[in-house]
Amino acid sequence: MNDKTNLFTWENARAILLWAALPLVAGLLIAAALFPQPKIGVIRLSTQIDPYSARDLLQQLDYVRQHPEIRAVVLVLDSPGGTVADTEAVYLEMLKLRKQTPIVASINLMAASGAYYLSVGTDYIFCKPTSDVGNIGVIGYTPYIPSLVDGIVSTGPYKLFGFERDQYVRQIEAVKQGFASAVKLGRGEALKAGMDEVLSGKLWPGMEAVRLGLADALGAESDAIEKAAQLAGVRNPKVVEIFPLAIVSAPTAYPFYGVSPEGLTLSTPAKAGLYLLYIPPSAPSAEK
Amino acid sequence: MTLKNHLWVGFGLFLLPILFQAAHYTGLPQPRPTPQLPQYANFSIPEAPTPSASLAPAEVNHSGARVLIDINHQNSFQLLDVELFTRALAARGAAVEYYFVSDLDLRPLAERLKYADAFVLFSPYSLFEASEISALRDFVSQGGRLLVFADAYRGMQGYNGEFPDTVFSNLLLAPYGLSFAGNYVYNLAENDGNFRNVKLNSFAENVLTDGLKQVVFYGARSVNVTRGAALIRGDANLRSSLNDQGGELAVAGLDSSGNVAAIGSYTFMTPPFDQAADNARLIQNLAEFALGGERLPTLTNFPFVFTRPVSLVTAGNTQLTTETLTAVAGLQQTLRGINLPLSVAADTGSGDWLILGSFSDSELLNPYFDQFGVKFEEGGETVTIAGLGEISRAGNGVILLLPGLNHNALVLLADAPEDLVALINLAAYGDLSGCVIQENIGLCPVGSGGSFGGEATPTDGAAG
Repeated sequence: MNDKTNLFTWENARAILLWAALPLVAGLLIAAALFPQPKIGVIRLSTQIDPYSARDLLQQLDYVRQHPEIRAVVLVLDSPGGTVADTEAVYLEMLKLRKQTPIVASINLMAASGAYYLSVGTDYIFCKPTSDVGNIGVIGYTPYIPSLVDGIVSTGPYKLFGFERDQYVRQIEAVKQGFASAVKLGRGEALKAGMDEVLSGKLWPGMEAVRLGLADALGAESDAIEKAAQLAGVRNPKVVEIFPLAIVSAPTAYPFYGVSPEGLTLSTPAKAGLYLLYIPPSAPSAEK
Repeated sequence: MTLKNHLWVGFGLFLLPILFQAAHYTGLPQPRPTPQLPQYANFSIPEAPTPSASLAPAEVNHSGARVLIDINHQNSFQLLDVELFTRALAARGAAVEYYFVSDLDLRPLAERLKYADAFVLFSPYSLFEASEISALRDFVSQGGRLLVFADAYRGMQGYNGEFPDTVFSNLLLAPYGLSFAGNYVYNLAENDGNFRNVKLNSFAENVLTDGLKQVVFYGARSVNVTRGAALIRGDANLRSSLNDQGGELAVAGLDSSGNVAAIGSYTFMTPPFDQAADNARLIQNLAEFALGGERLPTLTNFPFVFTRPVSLVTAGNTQLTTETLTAVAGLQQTLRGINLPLSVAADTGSGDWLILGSFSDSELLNPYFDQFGVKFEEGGETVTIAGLGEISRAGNGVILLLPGLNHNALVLLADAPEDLVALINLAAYGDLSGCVIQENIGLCPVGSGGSFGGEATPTDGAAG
């Protein structure tokens, strides 16, 4: 009886501590070290793609690259696109990151033009049934015809103007070829539509975009997170917003759109140049 | 428990959280494609179409011709845009005038068209008045050339989209079986660097398309041809922006008379687009077409019934008296005002003819009497003109106009020298509004006693 009543002895406690608790704790510690809870990073683009928003995106992609616990990225898009070079800058960084980290796009209201360019740089594209998807193509503002300007001396006929008008149009076509190639490579065999249709510049509702193979599936942001986890081979991930982790300075507004003399923001860019941008038509006047 | 068992328990407890954690957070990654980078360096900028061979200088073979370009209907173009076209007209000796009614020039279109060889219209944005439409219809029916241009870049943007530059043009073109579509055409395959810069390779045979192998239109509207010929067509990939449908759309058409052309673009005339393919040749062809009408003058167009230097000759017993010469000098001044020299000659030669005569048999005049059915008796008091009946010779003058391909002849007939002087003076004033004009015959009261059936009223010309 005494033996039964004295089961808890210091000797037993020491044995349990030595052979059970310590290994368990050590196992927990090593498990936490070996298998930390994976994270799915969420990067959001909710504005046009301009030098500032592109810089923010690049910083977030860089943050993901430097934090291996972020096992996959969901890129949430609601953007009409933007400048060509900024779009390409983000697209190229995304392709680099994708070699190590899966990226899934989740299109909300719109992924038009340059924003769609970014989405074809991901592994999988979700959209909503009525998301605006596509508008694949380039717009550019033709430069001025070169002329001499009194009071300004330049060292070449295009020094002041940068481009020769006719050549500029052809360069736009070359940019389009780059976009078209990105779509073909990004969508691969999933793409059902012919390139004539793809390059028509149309915006398609999400459900049509899926049918044409411009997107993979209809789904919510949570579906995108789930898909990203599957692609990364992780379960029960923690979802983290990358922006507050990666961006130290407060966001700065870039004067992307023009402003009318009356002070109204226009739907066209403030500066001439090349754009992968959707410019919505003006809404009918309420007075009409 | 033995030590060995303790070790197994300890090891198991050590592994348990690790396995749990691994199972909890790790799954099998799904396969995904390797990202592929577009080969940006391999994308080439499309080549520009090379200009066709240099053109021979235009021959100055249309001296005296005049082309009216409309700027009276809020036309959406700059003179600089079409300068290569106007230059091609000028190089052929034609004068280019602009039709614009203002306080400085109140002449209506009908007056301006009297002397024009062609009327050219670019992108109008206001209605043509009924009198203008009527004048243009008469002009075309007389062999005048009407060129109507639209351009896909000239639409006006409004709240509800584009208001195309075709609406008012189409009202003019409709009677000729031509119309512009309010679209732009595009070609995703055969283009010059951009889908809207369409290459066109199909041409109907015409002076407008002479020598063309390929032209490139930069922003063009399609032309519907219900009567006549489609002059320039695209291939099967040329499509309309309105419905994305195609099928060899036309961008230029000609009516069945061959005098009315509708061209769906003129940006191709503007440098540097004129240098693409055969565009420069098309500009020259357009000038040739504008000046190539066979417009025979009519008496209603007086004084613009002459197109060449004028030789004045007298027929029969008509004398160039002092009074006659004074009147002729006035007429010479009038013709000089429209760049036509008038010289007195002993006989008809090259150029146009002004024949002064009376109602008497003459070797020179008899063919005209026969042509117009003019019959009279020597010394009689009346003259009979086919279709007009019998009129009094006293106080009345008769004008006959016989246009021809080599020369136009204007015959002034009066019974008395003073009546002839009055008739010349009427012509010198350039105003036959006091005359009855029927086709190319004019009956003018020119003497104080002159009358048609005794009711005619003396005119200013008669007083002169």
